[in-house]
Amino acid sequence: MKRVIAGALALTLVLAPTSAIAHRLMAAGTAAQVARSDLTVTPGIEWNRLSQRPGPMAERWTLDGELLNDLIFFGGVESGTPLFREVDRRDNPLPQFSSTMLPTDIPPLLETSLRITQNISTFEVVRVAPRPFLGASGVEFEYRMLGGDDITRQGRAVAAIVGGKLFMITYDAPAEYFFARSSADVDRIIASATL
Amino acid sequence: MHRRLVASVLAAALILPQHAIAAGTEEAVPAVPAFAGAYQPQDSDERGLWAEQDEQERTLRESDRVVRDAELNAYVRGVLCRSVGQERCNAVRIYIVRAPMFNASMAPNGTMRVFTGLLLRAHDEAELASVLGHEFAHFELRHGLARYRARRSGSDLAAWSAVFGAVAIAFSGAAYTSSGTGVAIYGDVMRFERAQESAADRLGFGFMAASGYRPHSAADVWRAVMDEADQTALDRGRRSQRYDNTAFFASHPTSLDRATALDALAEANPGGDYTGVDPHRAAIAPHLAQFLADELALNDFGGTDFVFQRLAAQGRSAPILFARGELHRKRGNPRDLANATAFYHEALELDPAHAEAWRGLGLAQMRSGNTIEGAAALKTYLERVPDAADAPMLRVMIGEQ
Repeated sequence: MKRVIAGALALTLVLAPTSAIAHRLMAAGTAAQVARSDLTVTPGIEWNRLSQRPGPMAERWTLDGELLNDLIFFGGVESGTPLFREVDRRDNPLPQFSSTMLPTDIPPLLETSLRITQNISTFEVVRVAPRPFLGASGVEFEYRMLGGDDITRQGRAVAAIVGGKLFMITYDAPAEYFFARSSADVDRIIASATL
Repeated sequence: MHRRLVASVLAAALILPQHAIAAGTEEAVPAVPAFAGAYQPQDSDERGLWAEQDEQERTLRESDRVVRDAELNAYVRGVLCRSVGQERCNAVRIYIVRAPMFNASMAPNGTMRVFTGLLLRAHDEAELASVLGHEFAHFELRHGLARYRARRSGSDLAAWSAVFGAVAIAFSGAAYTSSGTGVAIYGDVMRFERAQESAADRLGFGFMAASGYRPHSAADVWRAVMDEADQTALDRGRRSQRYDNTAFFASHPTSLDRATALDALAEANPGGDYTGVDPHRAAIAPHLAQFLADELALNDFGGTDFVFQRLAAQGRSAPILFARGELHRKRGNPRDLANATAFYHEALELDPAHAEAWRGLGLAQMRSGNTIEGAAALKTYLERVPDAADAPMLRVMIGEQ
Protein backbone atom coordinates (compact mmCIF):
# COMPACT_ATOMS: atom_id res chain seq x y z
CA MET A 1 0.00 0.00 0.00
CA LYS A 2 2.69 2.50 0.99
CA ARG A 3 4.57 1.97 -2.25
CA VAL A 4 1.46 2.58 -4.28
CA ILE A 5 0.88 5.85 -2.44
CA ALA A 6 4.50 6.93 -2.75
CA GLY A 7 4.44 6.09 -6.44
CA ALA A 8 1.29 8.04 -7.02
CA LEU A 9 2.68 11.03 -5.11
CA ALA A 10 5.89 10.95 -7.16
CA LEU A 11 3.85 10.78 -10.33
CA THR A 12 1.87 13.87 -9.36
CA LEU A 13 5.08 15.75 -8.62
CA VAL A 14 6.50 14.81 -11.99
CA LEU A 15 3.35 15.72 -13.86
CA ALA A 16 2.76 19.06 -12.20
CA PRO A 17 5.74 21.05 -13.56
CA THR A 18 5.44 19.75 -17.14
CA SER A 19 2.12 21.46 -17.64
CA ALA A 20 3.56 24.65 -16.19
CA ILE A 21 6.42 24.77 -18.71
CA ALA A 22 4.12 25.53 -21.60
CA HIS A 23 2.78 28.77 -20.13
CA ARG A 24 4.04 31.72 -22.10
CA LEU A 25 4.87 35.33 -21.36
CA MET A 26 3.11 37.73 -23.71
CA ALA A 27 5.37 40.74 -24.31
CA ALA A 28 4.18 44.30 -23.79
CA GLY A 29 3.54 46.30 -26.95
CA THR A 30 3.71 43.30 -29.27
CA ALA A 31 0.62 42.29 -31.24
CA ALA A 32 -0.43 38.72 -30.54
CA GLN A 33 -2.85 36.47 -32.39
CA VAL A 34 -5.11 34.80 -29.86
CA ALA A 35 -7.48 31.86 -29.55
CA ARG A 36 -6.47 30.12 -32.78
CA SER A 37 -8.11 32.86 -34.78
CA ASP A 38 -7.40 36.11 -36.55
CA LEU A 39 -8.31 38.00 -33.39
CA THR A 40 -5.26 40.11 -32.59
CA VAL A 41 -4.57 42.13 -29.45
CA THR A 42 -1.68 44.22 -28.21
CA PRO A 43 -1.15 44.18 -24.43
CA GLY A 44 0.21 47.29 -22.73
CA ILE A 45 1.99 45.27 -20.04
CA GLU A 46 3.28 41.72 -19.83
CA TRP A 47 0.64 39.01 -19.42
CA ASN A 48 0.90 35.25 -18.96
CA ARG A 49 -0.81 32.97 -21.42
CA LEU A 50 -1.88 29.75 -19.71
CA SER A 51 -1.14 26.57 -21.62
CA GLN A 52 -4.44 24.85 -21.03
CA ARG A 53 -7.11 26.20 -23.34
CA PRO A 54 -10.45 26.75 -21.61
CA GLY A 55 -12.19 25.87 -24.87
CA PRO A 56 -11.33 24.83 -28.42
CA MET A 57 -11.69 28.43 -29.64
CA ALA A 58 -10.53 30.10 -26.43
CA GLU A 59 -7.36 31.28 -24.76
CA ARG A 60 -6.73 32.34 -21.18
CA TRP A 61 -4.39 35.10 -19.97
CA THR A 62 -3.63 36.13 -16.42
CA LEU A 63 -1.34 38.39 -14.39
CA ASP A 64 -1.34 36.71 -10.98
CA GLY A 65 -3.13 33.42 -11.69
CA GLU A 66 -6.59 32.80 -13.10
CA LEU A 67 -8.26 33.01 -9.70
CA LEU A 68 -7.05 36.60 -9.31
CA ASN A 69 -7.40 37.90 -12.87
CA ASP A 70 -8.92 35.82 -15.59
CA LEU A 71 -8.85 37.21 -19.13
CA ILE A 72 -10.38 34.94 -21.76
CA PHE A 73 -10.46 35.42 -25.52
CA PHE A 74 -13.03 33.59 -27.61
CA GLY A 75 -11.95 33.60 -31.24
CA GLY A 76 -14.99 32.74 -33.32
CA VAL A 77 -17.17 30.25 -31.47
CA GLU A 78 -19.35 28.57 -34.09
CA SER A 79 -23.10 28.23 -33.89
CA GLY A 80 -24.05 25.02 -32.12
CA THR A 81 -20.87 24.78 -30.05
CA PRO A 82 -20.20 25.69 -26.40
CA LEU A 83 -17.90 28.47 -25.20
CA PHE A 84 -15.77 26.19 -23.04
CA ARG A 85 -14.48 22.67 -23.10
CA GLU A 86 -17.16 20.28 -21.79
CA VAL A 87 -16.58 19.27 -18.17
CA ASP A 88 -19.25 16.58 -18.06
CA ARG A 89 -20.96 16.28 -21.41
CA ARG A 90 -23.20 13.42 -20.36
CA ASP A 91 -24.65 14.73 -17.11
CA ASN A 92 -24.03 18.45 -17.21
CA PRO A 93 -23.57 19.62 -20.80
CA LEU A 94 -22.69 23.23 -21.59
CA PRO A 95 -25.11 25.56 -23.36
CA GLN A 96 -24.34 26.26 -27.00
CA PHE A 97 -23.92 29.52 -28.82
CA SER A 98 -26.35 30.18 -31.65
CA SER A 99 -25.80 32.69 -34.43
CA THR A 100 -29.45 33.79 -34.09
CA MET A 101 -28.84 35.04 -30.54
CA LEU A 102 -29.64 38.65 -29.71
CA PRO A 103 -27.01 40.78 -27.90
CA THR A 104 -29.02 40.33 -24.68
CA ASP A 105 -28.71 36.53 -24.97
CA ILE A 106 -24.93 36.60 -24.54
CA PRO A 107 -24.82 37.36 -20.75
CA PRO A 108 -27.10 34.39 -19.86
CA LEU A 109 -25.00 32.17 -22.16
CA LEU A 110 -21.87 33.17 -20.23
CA GLU A 111 -23.67 32.78 -16.90
CA THR A 112 -24.78 29.20 -17.49
CA SER A 113 -21.37 28.31 -18.95
CA LEU A 114 -19.61 29.65 -15.85
CA ARG A 115 -22.04 27.90 -13.52
CA ILE A 116 -21.06 24.61 -15.05
CA THR A 117 -17.34 25.15 -15.66
CA GLN A 118 -16.46 27.22 -12.57
CA ASN A 119 -19.28 26.31 -10.21
CA ILE A 120 -20.32 29.91 -9.64
CA SER A 121 -23.49 30.17 -7.60
CA THR A 122 -24.80 33.65 -8.36
CA PHE A 123 -24.44 35.86 -11.41
CA GLU A 124 -25.91 39.33 -11.51
CA VAL A 125 -25.81 41.37 -14.70
CA VAL A 126 -25.14 44.97 -13.73
CA ARG A 127 -25.15 46.64 -17.13
CA VAL A 128 -25.65 45.72 -20.80
CA ALA A 129 -24.87 48.38 -23.39
CA PRO A 130 -24.06 48.59 -27.09
CA ARG A 131 -20.39 48.86 -28.05
CA PRO A 132 -18.76 48.64 -31.47
CA PHE A 133 -16.32 45.72 -31.46
CA LEU A 134 -14.18 44.36 -34.30
CA GLY A 135 -15.99 46.57 -36.76
CA ALA A 136 -19.38 45.13 -35.84
CA SER A 137 -22.16 46.41 -33.61
CA GLY A 138 -21.23 44.58 -30.44
CA VAL A 139 -22.34 44.43 -26.86
CA GLU A 140 -20.57 45.21 -23.63
CA PHE A 141 -21.75 43.90 -20.26
CA GLU A 142 -20.71 43.97 -16.63
CA TYR A 143 -21.52 41.42 -13.97
CA ARG A 144 -20.88 40.30 -10.41
CA MET A 145 -20.71 36.67 -9.42
CA LEU A 146 -20.09 34.52 -6.38
CA GLY A 147 -17.54 31.83 -7.12
CA GLY A 148 -17.38 28.26 -5.91
CA ASP A 149 -14.75 29.51 -3.47
CA ASP A 150 -17.30 31.94 -1.98
CA ILE A 151 -15.38 34.95 -3.31
CA THR A 152 -17.29 37.74 -5.06
CA ARG A 153 -15.86 38.47 -8.48
CA GLN A 154 -16.55 41.37 -10.76
CA GLY A 155 -16.50 40.85 -14.48
CA ARG A 156 -16.92 42.55 -17.79
CA ALA A 157 -17.13 41.36 -21.37
CA VAL A 158 -17.20 42.69 -24.90
CA ALA A 159 -18.70 40.57 -27.64
CA ALA A 160 -19.77 40.69 -31.26
CA ILE A 161 -21.15 38.19 -33.73
CA VAL A 162 -19.06 38.40 -36.89
CA GLY A 163 -19.94 36.16 -39.82
CA GLY A 164 -22.17 34.04 -37.58
CA LYS A 165 -19.36 33.39 -35.10
CA LEU A 166 -19.00 34.75 -31.60
CA PHE A 167 -15.93 36.81 -30.77
CA MET A 168 -15.70 37.79 -27.13
CA ILE A 169 -13.24 38.97 -24.50
CA THR A 170 -14.17 38.39 -20.85
CA TYR A 171 -12.31 39.56 -17.78
CA ASP A 172 -13.13 38.75 -14.19
CA ALA A 173 -11.29 39.22 -10.92
CA PRO A 174 -12.11 39.41 -7.19
CA ALA A 175 -14.26 42.51 -6.65
CA GLU A 176 -11.99 43.52 -3.82
CA TYR A 177 -8.83 45.20 -5.15
CA PHE A 178 -7.96 42.98 -8.13
CA PHE A 179 -10.74 43.90 -10.55
CA ALA A 180 -10.11 47.64 -10.39
CA ARG A 181 -6.33 47.28 -10.30
CA SER A 182 -6.06 45.73 -13.76
CA SER A 183 -9.14 47.24 -15.36
CA ALA A 184 -7.14 49.85 -17.31
CA ASP A 185 -4.80 47.17 -18.68
CA VAL A 186 -7.80 45.17 -19.85
CA ASP A 187 -9.30 48.30 -21.42
CA ARG A 188 -6.18 48.69 -23.45
CA ILE A 189 -6.28 45.10 -24.68
CA ILE A 190 -9.96 45.38 -25.65
CA ALA A 191 -9.34 48.66 -27.45
CA SER A 192 -6.46 47.10 -29.38
CA ALA A 193 -8.50 44.13 -30.62
CA THR A 194 -8.73 43.73 -34.39
CA LEU A 195 -9.82 40.98 -36.69
CA MET B 1 -21.10 20.45 -7.79
CA HIS B 2 -17.55 19.22 -7.29
CA ARG B 3 -18.58 16.19 -9.27
CA ARG B 4 -15.13 14.74 -9.61
CA LEU B 5 -14.55 14.76 -5.89
CA VAL B 6 -17.98 13.26 -5.41
CA ALA B 7 -17.17 10.66 -8.02
CA SER B 8 -13.95 9.71 -6.30
CA VAL B 9 -15.65 9.51 -2.92
CA LEU B 10 -18.35 7.38 -4.49
CA ALA B 11 -15.70 5.20 -6.07
CA ALA B 12 -14.10 4.87 -2.67
CA ALA B 13 -17.44 3.90 -1.19
CA LEU B 14 -17.78 1.11 -3.71
CA ILE B 15 -14.63 -0.49 -2.41
CA LEU B 16 -16.15 -0.81 1.02
CA PRO B 17 -18.31 -3.80 1.87
CA GLN B 18 -21.96 -3.10 1.22
CA HIS B 19 -24.74 -4.63 3.23
CA ALA B 20 -27.28 -5.45 0.60
CA ILE B 21 -30.44 -5.19 2.59
CA ALA B 22 -33.53 -4.27 0.62
CA ALA B 23 -34.81 -0.73 1.02
CA GLY B 24 -38.13 -0.30 2.69
CA THR B 25 -39.98 -2.66 4.92
CA GLU B 26 -43.65 -3.10 5.40
CA GLU B 27 -43.69 -3.56 9.13
CA ALA B 28 -45.31 -0.83 11.15
CA VAL B 29 -43.18 1.95 12.52
CA PRO B 30 -42.67 1.94 16.27
CA ALA B 31 -43.44 4.96 18.38
CA VAL B 32 -40.74 7.62 18.31
CA PRO B 33 -38.25 6.86 21.11
CA ALA B 34 -37.51 9.36 23.87
CA PHE B 35 -34.84 11.86 22.80
CA ALA B 36 -31.55 11.48 24.63
CA GLY B 37 -31.16 15.24 24.96
CA ALA B 38 -28.13 17.35 24.29
CA TYR B 39 -25.74 14.83 22.83
CA GLN B 40 -21.98 15.10 23.06
CA PRO B 41 -19.40 13.09 21.13
CA GLN B 42 -18.43 9.92 22.95
CA ASP B 43 -14.99 8.88 21.78
CA SER B 44 -12.02 10.07 19.75
CA ASP B 45 -13.56 9.08 16.40
CA GLU B 46 -16.67 11.02 17.10
CA ARG B 47 -14.83 14.01 18.57
CA GLY B 48 -12.67 14.15 15.44
CA LEU B 49 -15.72 14.02 13.22
CA TRP B 50 -17.40 16.80 15.17
CA ALA B 51 -14.31 18.99 15.05
CA GLU B 52 -14.26 18.62 11.27
CA GLN B 53 -17.96 19.43 11.01
CA ASP B 54 -17.62 22.41 13.37
CA GLU B 55 -14.90 23.83 11.14
CA GLN B 56 -17.11 23.40 8.07
CA GLU B 57 -20.03 24.99 9.87
CA ARG B 58 -17.94 28.08 10.68
CA THR B 59 -17.21 28.50 6.95
CA LEU B 60 -20.83 27.86 6.04
CA ARG B 61 -22.08 30.40 8.58
CA GLU B 62 -20.06 33.15 6.88
CA SER B 63 -20.98 32.18 3.33
CA ASP B 64 -22.83 34.57 1.04
CA ARG B 65 -24.70 31.60 -0.34
CA VAL B 66 -26.70 31.19 2.86
CA VAL B 67 -30.18 32.72 2.66
CA ARG B 68 -30.59 34.71 5.85
CA ASP B 69 -34.16 35.93 5.40
CA ALA B 70 -35.64 35.63 8.92
CA GLU B 71 -39.15 34.63 7.86
CA LEU B 72 -38.04 31.89 5.50
CA ASN B 73 -35.69 30.51 8.14
CA ALA B 74 -38.45 30.60 10.75
CA TYR B 75 -40.75 28.73 8.37
CA VAL B 76 -38.26 25.93 7.65
CA ARG B 77 -37.41 25.61 11.32
CA GLY B 78 -41.11 25.51 12.14
CA VAL B 79 -41.67 22.60 9.75
CA LEU B 80 -38.71 20.67 11.18
CA CYS B 81 -39.83 21.37 14.77
CA ARG B 82 -43.39 20.28 14.08
CA SER B 83 -42.06 17.14 12.43
CA VAL B 84 -39.47 15.99 14.99
CA GLY B 85 -40.69 17.84 18.07
CA GLN B 86 -39.35 20.91 19.84
CA GLU B 87 -36.80 19.07 21.97
CA ARG B 88 -35.06 17.40 19.01
CA CYS B 89 -35.36 20.55 16.95
CA ASN B 90 -33.25 22.45 19.49
CA ALA B 91 -30.27 20.26 18.58
CA VAL B 92 -30.27 21.59 14.98
CA ARG B 93 -28.88 24.69 13.26
CA ILE B 94 -30.54 25.16 9.90
CA TYR B 95 -28.76 26.82 6.98
CA ILE B 96 -30.73 27.53 3.80
CA VAL B 97 -28.21 27.26 0.95
CA ARG B 98 -28.98 29.01 -2.31
CA ALA B 99 -28.62 26.22 -4.85
CA PRO B 100 -31.16 25.11 -7.47
CA MET B 101 -31.05 21.43 -6.55
CA PHE B 102 -33.23 19.06 -4.62
CA ASN B 103 -31.12 18.40 -1.56
CA ALA B 104 -30.99 18.51 2.20
CA SER B 105 -28.44 16.96 4.50
CA MET B 106 -27.56 16.84 8.13
CA ALA B 107 -24.04 16.66 9.48
CA PRO B 108 -23.25 14.61 12.61
CA ASN B 109 -22.73 17.76 14.70
CA GLY B 110 -26.26 19.01 14.06
CA THR B 111 -25.73 21.27 11.03
CA MET B 112 -28.67 20.97 8.67
CA ARG B 113 -28.33 22.22 5.10
CA VAL B 114 -31.53 22.83 3.17
CA PHE B 115 -31.13 23.77 -0.50
CA THR B 116 -33.46 26.36 -1.97
CA GLY B 117 -34.15 23.89 -4.80
CA LEU B 118 -35.82 21.61 -2.25
CA LEU B 119 -38.05 24.44 -1.01
CA LEU B 120 -39.11 25.17 -4.59
CA ARG B 121 -39.75 21.52 -5.44
CA ALA B 122 -41.65 20.58 -2.28
CA HIS B 123 -45.35 20.84 -3.04
CA ASP B 124 -46.32 21.47 0.56
CA GLU B 125 -45.21 21.35 4.19
CA ALA B 126 -45.72 17.60 4.44
CA GLU B 127 -43.31 16.90 1.56
CA LEU B 128 -40.71 19.20 3.09
CA ALA B 129 -41.28 17.65 6.52
CA SER B 130 -40.76 14.15 5.14
CA VAL B 131 -37.34 15.07 3.74
CA LEU B 132 -36.23 17.03 6.81
CA GLY B 133 -37.49 14.27 9.12
CA HIS B 134 -35.64 11.65 7.10
CA GLU B 135 -32.41 13.64 7.33
CA PHE B 136 -32.92 14.18 11.04
CA ALA B 137 -33.39 10.43 11.46
CA HIS B 138 -29.95 9.81 9.92
CA PHE B 139 -28.60 12.29 12.46
CA GLU B 140 -30.39 10.81 15.45
CA LEU B 141 -29.31 7.30 14.50
CA ARG B 142 -25.76 8.62 14.09
CA HIS B 143 -25.32 7.11 10.64
CA GLY B 144 -22.69 9.69 9.76
CA LEU B 145 -20.45 8.31 12.49
CA ALA B 146 -20.93 4.74 11.33
CA ARG B 147 -19.99 5.84 7.81
CA TYR B 148 -16.94 7.70 9.11
CA ARG B 149 -15.77 4.68 11.11
CA ALA B 150 -16.29 2.39 8.15
CA ARG B 151 -14.26 4.75 6.02
CA ARG B 152 -11.48 4.95 8.61
CA SER B 153 -11.15 1.31 9.49
CA GLY B 154 -12.53 -0.26 6.35
CA SER B 155 -9.83 0.76 3.95
CA ASP B 156 -6.95 3.15 3.81
CA LEU B 157 -7.17 2.90 0.05
CA ALA B 158 -10.57 4.56 0.14
CA ALA B 159 -9.18 7.50 2.10
CA TRP B 160 -6.19 7.84 -0.19
CA SER B 161 -8.21 7.68 -3.37
CA ALA B 162 -10.20 10.65 -2.06
CA VAL B 163 -6.94 12.53 -1.56
CA PHE B 164 -5.70 11.72 -5.04
CA GLY B 165 -9.04 12.69 -6.48
CA ALA B 166 -8.55 16.12 -4.93
CA VAL B 167 -4.96 16.36 -6.20
CA ALA B 168 -6.07 15.48 -9.71
CA ILE B 169 -8.68 18.23 -9.61
CA ALA B 170 -6.18 20.78 -8.34
CA PHE B 171 -4.08 20.20 -11.45
CA SER B 172 -6.95 20.03 -13.89
CA GLY B 173 -7.54 23.76 -13.92
CA ALA B 174 -10.78 23.53 -11.99
CA ALA B 175 -9.10 24.07 -8.65
CA TYR B 176 -11.63 26.25 -6.99
CA THR B 177 -14.69 24.30 -7.96
CA SER B 178 -13.95 21.55 -5.51
CA SER B 179 -12.24 23.44 -2.74
CA GLY B 180 -12.79 22.81 0.95
CA THR B 181 -15.07 25.84 0.82
CA GLY B 182 -17.37 24.02 -1.57
CA VAL B 183 -17.61 21.03 0.75
CA ALA B 184 -18.24 23.31 3.74
CA ILE B 185 -21.10 25.09 1.99
CA TYR B 186 -22.77 22.28 0.09
CA GLY B 187 -22.00 19.60 2.64
CA ASP B 188 -20.02 16.42 2.45
CA VAL B 189 -21.34 13.39 0.67
CA MET B 190 -22.20 10.83 3.30
CA ARG B 191 -23.30 7.87 1.28
CA PHE B 192 -25.70 5.88 3.39
CA GLU B 193 -26.28 2.17 3.08
CA ARG B 194 -29.57 0.47 2.41
CA ALA B 195 -29.92 -0.74 5.99
CA GLN B 196 -29.40 2.82 7.23
CA GLU B 197 -31.96 4.12 4.73
CA SER B 198 -34.52 1.64 6.01
CA ALA B 199 -33.84 2.63 9.61
CA ALA B 200 -34.09 6.34 8.74
CA ASP B 201 -37.33 5.69 6.85
CA ARG B 202 -38.83 3.93 9.87
CA LEU B 203 -37.90 6.72 12.26
CA GLY B 204 -38.86 9.35 9.68
CA PHE B 205 -42.34 7.84 9.35
CA GLY B 206 -42.53 7.75 13.14
CA PHE B 207 -42.00 11.54 13.11
CA MET B 208 -44.63 12.02 10.39
CA ALA B 209 -47.16 9.92 12.28
CA ALA B 210 -46.55 11.67 15.58
CA SER B 211 -46.82 15.13 14.02
CA GLY B 212 -49.95 14.60 11.93
CA TYR B 213 -48.35 15.11 8.50
CA ARG B 214 -49.76 13.08 5.60
CA PRO B 215 -47.45 10.03 5.35
CA HIS B 216 -47.93 9.49 1.58
CA SER B 217 -46.22 12.83 0.95
CA ALA B 218 -42.90 11.07 1.55
CA ALA B 219 -43.51 8.85 -1.47
CA ASP B 220 -44.84 11.76 -3.56
CA VAL B 221 -41.74 13.90 -3.17
CA TRP B 222 -39.49 10.93 -3.87
CA ARG B 223 -41.40 10.05 -7.03
CA ALA B 224 -41.34 13.66 -8.27
CA VAL B 225 -37.57 13.91 -7.94
CA MET B 226 -37.06 10.61 -9.74
CA ASP B 227 -39.40 11.79 -12.52
CA GLU B 228 -37.38 14.98 -12.77
CA ALA B 229 -34.16 12.99 -13.16
CA ASP B 230 -35.89 10.90 -15.84
CA GLN B 231 -36.93 14.02 -17.75
CA THR B 232 -33.40 15.44 -17.57
CA ALA B 233 -32.06 12.18 -18.99
CA LEU B 234 -34.77 11.87 -21.63
CA ASP B 235 -34.15 15.40 -22.83
CA ARG B 236 -30.47 14.58 -23.20
CA GLY B 237 -31.28 11.57 -25.29
CA ARG B 238 -30.61 8.79 -22.85
CA ARG B 239 -32.52 6.50 -20.57
CA SER B 240 -32.35 6.87 -16.84
CA GLN B 241 -32.54 4.08 -14.35
CA ARG B 242 -30.03 5.63 -12.01
CA TYR B 243 -30.52 8.67 -9.91
CA ASP B 244 -27.14 9.35 -8.37
CA ASN B 245 -26.67 12.42 -10.56
CA THR B 246 -29.27 14.14 -8.43
CA ALA B 247 -27.50 15.71 -5.47
CA PHE B 248 -29.82 14.14 -2.93
CA PHE B 249 -29.53 10.65 -4.38
CA ALA B 250 -25.76 10.83 -4.46
CA SER B 251 -25.96 10.19 -0.73
CA HIS B 252 -29.16 8.16 -0.65
CA PRO B 253 -29.02 4.97 -2.67
CA THR B 254 -32.33 4.51 -4.35
CA SER B 255 -34.15 2.55 -6.96
CA LEU B 256 -37.37 2.69 -8.89
CA ASP B 257 -39.23 0.71 -6.25
CA ARG B 258 -38.18 3.03 -3.48
CA ALA B 259 -41.28 5.20 -3.85
CA THR B 260 -43.36 2.03 -3.82
CA ALA B 261 -41.63 0.92 -0.63
CA LEU B 262 -42.33 4.31 0.90
CA ASP B 263 -45.98 4.05 -0.13
CA ALA B 264 -46.17 0.67 1.57
CA LEU B 265 -44.67 2.15 4.73
CA ALA B 266 -47.14 5.03 4.55
CA GLU B 267 -49.97 2.53 4.18
CA ALA B 268 -48.85 0.69 7.30
CA ASN B 269 -48.78 3.86 9.35
CA PRO B 270 -51.74 6.00 10.27
CA GLY B 271 -50.23 9.50 10.46
CA GLY B 272 -52.48 12.45 9.82
CA ASP B 273 -53.82 14.20 6.77
CA TYR B 274 -52.20 17.61 7.20
CA THR B 275 -50.35 18.75 4.08
CA GLY B 276 -50.04 22.53 4.55
CA VAL B 277 -50.10 23.66 0.94
CA ASP B 278 -51.02 27.28 1.64
CA PRO B 279 -48.49 28.01 4.39
CA HIS B 280 -45.78 26.51 2.19
CA ARG B 281 -46.70 28.65 -0.81
CA ALA B 282 -46.97 31.76 1.34
CA ALA B 283 -43.50 31.15 2.79
CA ILE B 284 -41.94 30.63 -0.65
CA ALA B 285 -43.82 33.47 -2.40
CA PRO B 286 -41.41 36.34 -1.58
CA HIS B 287 -38.49 34.26 -2.95
CA LEU B 288 -40.25 32.55 -5.84
CA ALA B 289 -38.89 34.80 -8.60
CA GLN B 290 -35.33 34.29 -7.33
CA PHE B 291 -35.67 30.52 -6.97
CA LEU B 292 -37.13 30.23 -10.47
CA ALA B 293 -34.35 32.39 -11.93
CA ASP B 294 -31.74 30.13 -10.31
CA GLU B 295 -33.33 27.07 -11.94
CA LEU B 296 -33.31 28.85 -15.32
CA ALA B 297 -29.56 29.34 -15.13
CA LEU B 298 -29.06 25.56 -15.28
CA ASN B 299 -28.73 24.11 -18.74
CA ASP B 300 -31.34 21.43 -18.13
CA PHE B 301 -34.44 22.01 -20.23
CA GLY B 302 -36.08 18.66 -19.49
CA GLY B 303 -35.62 18.68 -15.72
CA THR B 304 -36.44 22.37 -15.30
CA ASP B 305 -39.52 22.06 -17.51
CA PHE B 306 -40.70 19.18 -15.33
CA VAL B 307 -40.23 21.22 -12.14
CA PHE B 308 -42.08 24.19 -13.65
CA GLN B 309 -44.91 21.99 -14.91
CA ARG B 310 -45.35 20.47 -11.47
CA LEU B 311 -45.52 23.99 -10.01
CA ALA B 312 -47.93 25.08 -12.75
CA ALA B 313 -50.24 22.20 -11.88
CA GLN B 314 -50.83 23.89 -8.51
CA GLY B 315 -52.68 26.73 -10.20
CA ARG B 316 -52.07 29.50 -12.71
CA SER B 317 -49.45 31.94 -11.50
CA ALA B 318 -47.76 34.79 -13.36
CA PRO B 319 -44.23 34.16 -11.99
CA ILE B 320 -44.37 30.51 -13.08
CA LEU B 321 -45.81 31.28 -16.52
CA PHE B 322 -43.09 33.90 -16.93
CA ALA B 323 -40.42 31.39 -15.91
CA ARG B 324 -41.74 28.86 -18.44
CA GLY B 325 -41.54 31.58 -21.10
CA GLU B 326 -37.94 32.29 -20.12
CA LEU B 327 -37.04 28.59 -20.24
CA HIS B 328 -38.38 28.22 -23.78
CA ARG B 329 -36.91 31.51 -24.97
CA LYS B 330 -33.53 30.48 -23.64
CA ARG B 331 -33.52 27.27 -25.69
CA GLY B 332 -34.42 29.45 -28.63
CA ASN B 333 -35.64 27.07 -31.36
CA PRO B 334 -38.32 28.71 -33.52
CA ARG B 335 -41.04 26.57 -31.88
CA ASP B 336 -39.64 27.43 -28.44
CA LEU B 337 -39.92 31.14 -29.22
CA ALA B 338 -43.56 30.64 -30.25
CA ASN B 339 -44.27 28.77 -27.00
CA ALA B 340 -42.42 31.43 -25.00
CA THR B 341 -44.54 34.16 -26.59
CA ALA B 342 -47.70 32.30 -25.54
CA PHE B 343 -46.46 31.89 -21.96
CA TYR B 344 -45.57 35.60 -21.67
CA HIS B 345 -49.01 36.59 -23.01
CA GLU B 346 -50.66 34.33 -20.45
CA ALA B 347 -48.51 35.74 -17.63
CA LEU B 348 -49.44 39.29 -18.67
CA GLU B 349 -53.12 38.35 -18.76
CA LEU B 350 -52.87 37.29 -15.13
CA ASP B 351 -50.62 40.13 -14.03
CA PRO B 352 -50.37 43.07 -16.44
CA ALA B 353 -47.88 44.70 -14.08
CA HIS B 354 -45.28 41.94 -14.64
CA ALA B 355 -42.67 44.15 -16.36
CA GLU B 356 -40.17 41.32 -16.97
CA ALA B 357 -42.79 39.47 -18.99
CA TRP B 358 -42.91 42.45 -21.40
CA ARG B 359 -39.16 42.15 -21.78
CA GLY B 360 -39.33 38.42 -22.46
CA LEU B 361 -42.18 38.88 -24.89
CA GLY B 362 -40.29 41.56 -26.79
CA LEU B 363 -37.07 39.55 -26.99
CA ALA B 364 -38.85 36.35 -28.05
CA GLN B 365 -40.57 38.22 -30.86
CA MET B 366 -37.42 40.05 -31.91
CA ARG B 367 -35.58 36.75 -32.15
CA SER B 368 -38.45 35.27 -34.14
CA GLY B 369 -38.09 38.12 -36.61
CA ASN B 370 -41.29 39.95 -35.58
CA THR B 371 -39.40 43.16 -35.00
CA ILE B 372 -42.39 45.52 -34.92
CA GLU B 373 -44.31 43.64 -32.22
CA GLY B 374 -41.04 42.94 -30.43
CA ALA B 375 -40.04 46.58 -30.37
CA ALA B 376 -43.48 47.56 -29.06
CA ALA B 377 -43.25 45.10 -26.16
CA LEU B 378 -39.69 46.19 -25.31
CA LYS B 379 -40.85 49.81 -25.38
CA THR B 380 -43.52 48.97 -22.82
CA TYR B 381 -40.86 47.28 -20.70
CA LEU B 382 -38.57 50.32 -20.88
CA GLU B 383 -41.44 52.60 -19.89
CA ARG B 384 -42.03 50.43 -16.81
CA VAL B 385 -38.35 49.94 -15.91
CA PRO B 386 -36.48 52.87 -17.49
CA ASP B 387 -33.26 52.20 -15.57
CA ALA B 388 -33.05 48.44 -16.18
CA ALA B 389 -29.51 47.04 -16.36
CA ASP B 390 -29.90 46.32 -20.07
CA ALA B 391 -31.89 49.45 -20.96
CA PRO B 392 -29.06 51.03 -23.03
CA MET B 393 -28.80 47.87 -25.18
CA LEU B 394 -32.56 47.45 -25.57
CA ARG B 395 -32.98 51.10 -26.66
CA VAL B 396 -30.55 50.54 -29.49
CA MET B 397 -32.21 47.25 -30.44
CA ILE B 398 -35.58 48.97 -30.89
CA GLY B 399 -34.02 51.90 -32.74
CA GLU B 400 -34.59 54.51 -30.08
CA GLN B 401 -31.00 55.62 -30.08
